[in-house]
Amino acid sequence: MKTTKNKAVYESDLHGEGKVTAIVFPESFEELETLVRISQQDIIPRGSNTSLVGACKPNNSVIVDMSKMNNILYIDPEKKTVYLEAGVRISELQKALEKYGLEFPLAPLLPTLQTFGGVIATNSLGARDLKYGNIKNWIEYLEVVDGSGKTIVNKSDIEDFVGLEGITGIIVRAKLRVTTKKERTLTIYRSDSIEELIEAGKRLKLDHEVSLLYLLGKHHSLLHGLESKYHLFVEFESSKGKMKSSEYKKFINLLGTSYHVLASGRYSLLEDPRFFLDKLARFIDFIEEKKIPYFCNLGSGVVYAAFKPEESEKLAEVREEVRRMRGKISAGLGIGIVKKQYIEQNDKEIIKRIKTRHDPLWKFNQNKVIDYESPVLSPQGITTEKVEEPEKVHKTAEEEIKTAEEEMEVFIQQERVKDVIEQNKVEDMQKMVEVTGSKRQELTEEEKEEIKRIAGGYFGEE
Amino acid sequence: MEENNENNQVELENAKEEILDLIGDHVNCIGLCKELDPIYLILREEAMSARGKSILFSKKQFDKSVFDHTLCASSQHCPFHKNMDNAIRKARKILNLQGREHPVNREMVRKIMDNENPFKKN
Repeated sequence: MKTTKNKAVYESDLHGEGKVTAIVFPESFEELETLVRISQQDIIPRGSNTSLVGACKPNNSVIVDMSKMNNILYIDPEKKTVYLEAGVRISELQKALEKYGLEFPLAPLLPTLQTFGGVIATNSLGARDLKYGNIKNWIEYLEVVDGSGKTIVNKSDIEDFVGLEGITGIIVRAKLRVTTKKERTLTIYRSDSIEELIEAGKRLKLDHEVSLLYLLGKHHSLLHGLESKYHLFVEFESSKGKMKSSEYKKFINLLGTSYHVLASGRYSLLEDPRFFLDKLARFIDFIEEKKIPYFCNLGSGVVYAAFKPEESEKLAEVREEVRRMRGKISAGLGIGIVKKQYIEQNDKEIIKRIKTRHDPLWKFNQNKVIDYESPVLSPQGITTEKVEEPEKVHKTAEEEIKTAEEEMEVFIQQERVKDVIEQNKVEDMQKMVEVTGSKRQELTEEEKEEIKRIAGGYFGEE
Repeated sequence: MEENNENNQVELENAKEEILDLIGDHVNCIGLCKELDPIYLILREEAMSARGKSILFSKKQFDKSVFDHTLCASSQHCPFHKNMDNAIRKARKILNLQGREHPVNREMVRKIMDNENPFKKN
């Protein structure tokens, strides 16, 4: 298995630093299985590390860098499916699909950087989720390495891995559905009133040709070089839109650089709360009061609000407001280490149960999404020592006979217990028959006559 | 000789400080430079990316991977305005001063000294 000595590079994350004990670049399932079996430390799967919530922040961890597993294994143009490794970037797949006239319709926030492993692990929403939903809807099956080794996860079980940010195992390969490439056009509406554009958005959501609805705040519009007004970007999968071909590309690419322009103003932290459209205007009023730049996916009601690293107080206020307004704290950027306290107790219990099912020794991505302490992992580093099997005790013939007799006695006793239980069951049934029999006897003569009269029409007289 | 060594030492320390100025204090980022970094796109190793190098430089770690950088200005797209190309030039200078220069560079200097022509065959 390949490795690198530059640990310092992997110790740094958007949300601080932590200690890395080893870095590995796996190239096969066997290597990953071996690593999971022998590792005595926290294992963090990692792609491009674009996580905005500290999902890959190490803490005495082994980093499994999946970037080198970046092959598109096959594309089936007839069935419109693709089989690929976790390190493939969204833009790389789009490029490969182009010559077949196909496309992967979701448009995550950073398609030229995000890998499929990360997008699946966070169940990332695309900009076109209004029409195409999230990545979960496009997965045929996943191939993962969890606590028990290589596992194929079918559609019915993918929720054990999709959206759990690598705490249940490492996503290695995926078979995904793709679709025929569409011709798209764009119209941009501009207004001074946010309510007006939200109302327009509500109506446009009903149009089945609309695939994307993005709203830019005044501050964010200025950053993009547009007027200081609210802008609503509406993408049509028909020729309805006013901007076509090159003009369409120019403005749709502008949306793709939303995070870049925010980051250039040092707004590197992004929050992604989600609301019903009815509450959206109220929340936007709140963040505008605080002078927070934002853009918004009206299709799903997600507001992307941006903060500078030193604006932690403002950030906490916004999260509290989201909780107060009963919004969803994260819609696709993940929970990581920064939003754990906003998960409800019931959800925590469910996540814990799923994690224990796939990762009984709790080796994967510790203390992300939910807090827990591994009962097994030690700070000793990876061990290559073989796990010792219990020693075989050699017994004499007499001892063997004695043990066999004891086992036989236990077996007989167990069988007796079973017999008693069976006997009790039989007695209970007899009692039931007696009870029902006694009830029958309680019928009066008149009732018997009535029954005979009703039944007689069908079965004849006795 | 001693004076020369002292000068080298001062130049080395200055170069290290200059690098810190060029990369700025913000090294914790999500690595938008990796979108375009031609070396990272082939090797897929974080240490080969501009972000990786800026993290190493911020910890005053300089290794020979700085010679693998193409200085193609793709890292100028960094929204945090880190001037990575200049930082890498400085890092190469540091390695030269420490006597850890690239063998091709050493050979080129020798040829210039001997023949005044870096391309002349021996």
